[in-house]
Amino acid sequence: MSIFKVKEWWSNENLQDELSNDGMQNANCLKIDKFNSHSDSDCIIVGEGSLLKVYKPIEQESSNILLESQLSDIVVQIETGKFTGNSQDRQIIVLHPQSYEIYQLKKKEGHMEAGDQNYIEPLMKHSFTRKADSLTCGPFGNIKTRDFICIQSLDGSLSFFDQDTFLFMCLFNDVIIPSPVCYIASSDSFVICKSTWLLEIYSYQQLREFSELNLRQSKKNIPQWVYNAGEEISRVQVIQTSSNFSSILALGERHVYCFQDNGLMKYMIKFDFMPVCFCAYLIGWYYEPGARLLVMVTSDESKLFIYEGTTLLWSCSLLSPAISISRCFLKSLPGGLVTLSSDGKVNVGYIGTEPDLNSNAPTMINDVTDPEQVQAELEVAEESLRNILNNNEGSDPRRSIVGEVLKIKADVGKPVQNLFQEFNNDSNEALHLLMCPVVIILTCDDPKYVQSVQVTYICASPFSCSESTICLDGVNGTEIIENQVFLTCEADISDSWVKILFSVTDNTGKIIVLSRKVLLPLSLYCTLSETIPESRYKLRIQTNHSCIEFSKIFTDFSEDEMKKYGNVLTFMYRSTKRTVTLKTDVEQYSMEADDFTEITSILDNFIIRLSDHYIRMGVKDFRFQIKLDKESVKQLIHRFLKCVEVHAKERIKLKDLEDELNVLQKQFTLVQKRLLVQYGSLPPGDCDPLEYLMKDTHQSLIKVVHEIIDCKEAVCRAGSSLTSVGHLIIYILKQFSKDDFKTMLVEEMMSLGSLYEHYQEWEEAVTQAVSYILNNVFKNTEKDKEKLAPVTEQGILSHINLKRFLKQIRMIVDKMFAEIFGDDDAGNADHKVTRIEELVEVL
Amino acid sequence: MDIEYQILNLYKTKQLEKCLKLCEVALQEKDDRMIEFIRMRAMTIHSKIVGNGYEEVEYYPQQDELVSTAVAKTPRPGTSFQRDTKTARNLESSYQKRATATVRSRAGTNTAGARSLRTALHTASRMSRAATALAGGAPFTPGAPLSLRFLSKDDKLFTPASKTLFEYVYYVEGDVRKAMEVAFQAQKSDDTSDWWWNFSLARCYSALGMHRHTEDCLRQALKQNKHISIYLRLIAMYVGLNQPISALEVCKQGLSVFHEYTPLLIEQARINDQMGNAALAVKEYRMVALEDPSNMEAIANIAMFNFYNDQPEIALRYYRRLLATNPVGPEIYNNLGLCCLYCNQWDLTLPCFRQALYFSADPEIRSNIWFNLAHVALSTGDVTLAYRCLQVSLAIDSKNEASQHALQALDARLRARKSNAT
Repeated sequence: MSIFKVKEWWSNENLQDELSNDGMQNANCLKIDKFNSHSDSDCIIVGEGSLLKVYKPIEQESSNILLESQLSDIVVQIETGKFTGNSQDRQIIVLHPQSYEIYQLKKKEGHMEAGDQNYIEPLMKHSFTRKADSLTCGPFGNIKTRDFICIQSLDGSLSFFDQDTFLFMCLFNDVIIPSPVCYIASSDSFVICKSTWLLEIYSYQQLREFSELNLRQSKKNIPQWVYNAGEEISRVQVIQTSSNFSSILALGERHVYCFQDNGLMKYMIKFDFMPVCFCAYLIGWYYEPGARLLVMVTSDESKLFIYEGTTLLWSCSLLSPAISISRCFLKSLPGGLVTLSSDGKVNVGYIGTEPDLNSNAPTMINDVTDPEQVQAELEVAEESLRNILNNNEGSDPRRSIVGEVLKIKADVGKPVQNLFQEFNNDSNEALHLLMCPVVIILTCDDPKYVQSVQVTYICASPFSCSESTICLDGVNGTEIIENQVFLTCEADISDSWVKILFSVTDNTGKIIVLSRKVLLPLSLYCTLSETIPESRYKLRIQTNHSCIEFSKIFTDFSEDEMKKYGNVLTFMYRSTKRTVTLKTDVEQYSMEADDFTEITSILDNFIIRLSDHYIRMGVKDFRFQIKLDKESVKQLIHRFLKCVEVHAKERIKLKDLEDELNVLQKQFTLVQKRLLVQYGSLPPGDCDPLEYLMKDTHQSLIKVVHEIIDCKEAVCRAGSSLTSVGHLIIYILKQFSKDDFKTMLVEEMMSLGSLYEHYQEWEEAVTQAVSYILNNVFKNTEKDKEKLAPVTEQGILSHINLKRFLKQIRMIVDKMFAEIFGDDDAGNADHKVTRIEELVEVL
Repeated sequence: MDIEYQILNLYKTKQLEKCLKLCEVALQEKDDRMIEFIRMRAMTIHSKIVGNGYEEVEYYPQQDELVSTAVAKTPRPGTSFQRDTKTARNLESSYQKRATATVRSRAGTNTAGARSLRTALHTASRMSRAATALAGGAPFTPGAPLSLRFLSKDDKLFTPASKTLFEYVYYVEGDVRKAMEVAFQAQKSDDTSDWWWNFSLARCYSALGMHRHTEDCLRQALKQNKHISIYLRLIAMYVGLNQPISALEVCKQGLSVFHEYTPLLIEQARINDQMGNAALAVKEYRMVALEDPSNMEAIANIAMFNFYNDQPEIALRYYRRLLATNPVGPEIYNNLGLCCLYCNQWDLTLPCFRQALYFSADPEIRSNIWFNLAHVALSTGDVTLAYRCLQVSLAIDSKNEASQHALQALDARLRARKSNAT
């Protein structure tokens, strides 16, 4: 990159036709030389198509063109030299595809006003059959009087001519695309570039012999020296740099190489651009010792770089992309730069030193502003920011508007058996066949207030929704959305609510979230069954009213069914096949079950229905009380800790399996890679052991994946039990506790809602909260803090951390219950010790 | 004018797209070996440019832990790219370093973009190559030129065509396996050993991730010919293997052949810079800048060194030069803004940052600019503004760690002040 640009001095732009064909302009059709008839400055000879033009730029005026001549065929290359022995002036040779012609530039004194007349006089013409690609000329064989001609044809063969006489021809069988050929005068040899991307140097003598040998189909000819460039050579230039030596410069795809004619490499330059053409020139005379060899290179982004050795001397941008570049010595511009562009435009310019500073940088945005105005704007912004930060409901009237405009009704329907597959009465299959529709009715009076609504369903495992999110683009009138809820696996039911979130985007783009909750009917997950006489755990619920008949509240089930069981109802979960029994005594209800996990959801459901019933009856002072003896509480806590432990253990198992999968997968890739190498090597190696290994690894992979799937289900199941027991504890705490805030804290700490399908990292989430509650709410002693703080360098699931975690939870729950029962702590303390020991054993 | 002359002209003047179009036309009319090969070459050059085949130096970290060709996992201290952050100077200036996170982008604007583009392309091509390599002896793709399908290894044209074929298969078809086959055949039929085949095999091996083979091939090629590309590939390979000491050794060898050669010097400087030898690196960057004054990367790095060396005025001069010679971008204005800040040129600081924000599109860079603006605000004592700037920074890119830390620190300080006041 540079700040400089080439300054334009002269151009033939005005003389050019507008139209130009792709590929019409040949890069070899630019030659600059001096002629006797115009000895004061260089002439620029350009061939375009079949036109030959000669320019002699003086200043930017019209009479710069010396002549323009239409030739018989297209011009492939133009060179100058002395091709006939008797001439004094330099002659122009024009190469056509199947002939060459030699011309002399002549000047005729004109009549008064027409000025001088220039014309070219044809001297000789020679035709040949092979299509020509390029030519090189020079005093081959050190003949001093005239230049010989060497023409490379498209198939790479070289034909040599003297004036219009054919001398001999060399054939090469390793040229596919013709590459440059160049004559080195100082050593009387040729540089020939091949399609093998080699640079081969043959002496003229050798080539002459080679041609004769070739006729006899004889042995190989070995070049004087070879350089293996490893890339295609696109241009070669030879320049005499001292009285004995010449330099050979070759341009590859990304490099320029510079050699002495004896094969010694002088330097190599690597470009980070795509070079198109180059021109090497000397500053000073070659017979002087201080002559400097400079190389100009143009890039495809029309930049010009000038190097001396490997040092970059100058870089600037050209005015137009150049396909050929050269130097010229004009009368008023010595050392000008001639470039030829692909549409035949010739530019003469010079390297200007007037930099174009910051041409590419747009002007700075630095407008003057009135400080008072800015201050005022700032204050307004601050004010609105403060409003938002304070989050005043009242200050934002839009919220209520959306709430009013959008009316939401959510309801559950009766569970429907999917009749389509009913005959398949396998218990496992039948689980998710029972579906319960959840219907939402959205009514919007004024649709222009609402842009879009997204409805999200949240239900606790093992329930699942057929569609978890539904998006609506605008609500116009009434929309009814029906979704199905069903059971997915055999896990404990902890929460029978479905939470529905509505994210409403209003007309200003603001998002408002509304929520609704619906209770799933009991019949979705329970059936009535035969009474089971005795159960382990009992829970009594005392109300301030006498008991009512169950059939009045459990409306899910038919009246007849209810009648059959009277006042002792036994529910059996569809998922786990375990039962809960609900009884009425005179003043109280009682619940019996074998495990605490069963009680939660029925209790929840029952109490809600009971309250609903009394509200419907118009009874305002309904109160109830759950009674649980101390022994049950202890068992409840124990059960909870057990659940936590099981959950943690399952997770550890899962993690081990995942690690194993990881290792196996890596092993699999490695074996595959190895196998690939074996396949690819020549000759192919023995692949059988590797193939066996790959298959074996694949088998193990499949096995582990199946185990992981099973284990994941187990974790989910353990999570469900954990949640349900946890909910029960919270439920009971809420009933009894006097300190609502503390209860709330404990509930938040448990964060049972965070266990959600495959997100089972509950222990990690709770650990932090547990320590906080212990340290700040219950004011743990320093000693306990230290003893129970999790070991930081190990994961939460590690043996020691888990033990501490369980202890901490136990402490919290114990303390909560101790506060409730208040009076006798002493008995509790004893038990605590034994329980912890018991747990340690379990672990 | 004959179409073959048009094609030749276009090909020799590197107007490849037009050349390819004409080739299609010409090949529909008749089969011509030369035109087919020109088309192959043009396609190859095209995909070489797109896939950065010309850049010998490509850095991408070795990630596969289980590849047995990788080096030892625990390198001896000082032999790998691990910055020793325990020196006092670094600790002191770590905050400042964060402040100028975007200064670190290599070579300012242009190459940074090119680099990311290249890595993206590279990984993509690597994947596809692996996929095609799997397919084994699959038949030639229908797009392959005729002569490629009919050219057998016994053909007398095989030797001159083999390099063209190799590059075509490697770059255009992206089939490493087939390319290697061509290479092996060519090596067999050629009685003289050719460095280029070793070099090309090394390219294949490194594409397959077989570094030991790559090293062998490159070393052998280097014995045959001291070409600059071999040195650069060797260096890139060692850097990829996280063996900077070996890479530096190769640099030294290369520099003894090519004196003061820019590409080698710049590699050396990059390696030294990455190893934490900033002073040495900047010396080498200076040498590069002397050889090639238009080298952006060198100038940007010298400027950065000066900036961290508490000479923001000098850094400012370098950055202004970069601004004059390079296409503008957010990084350069950001750096100028920071220099202005430390040079106490208050009137220019904010306009520079404003310009930086105007040019930036990438959220990561925008976020960093806002972070720097927070720094400016802090140095004027406007804590509220700094707070807001950091919030904007995080709103744009929530993963900006520097902003997160700064916001945390600022928050703590504000809270401490509040509690002191009450």
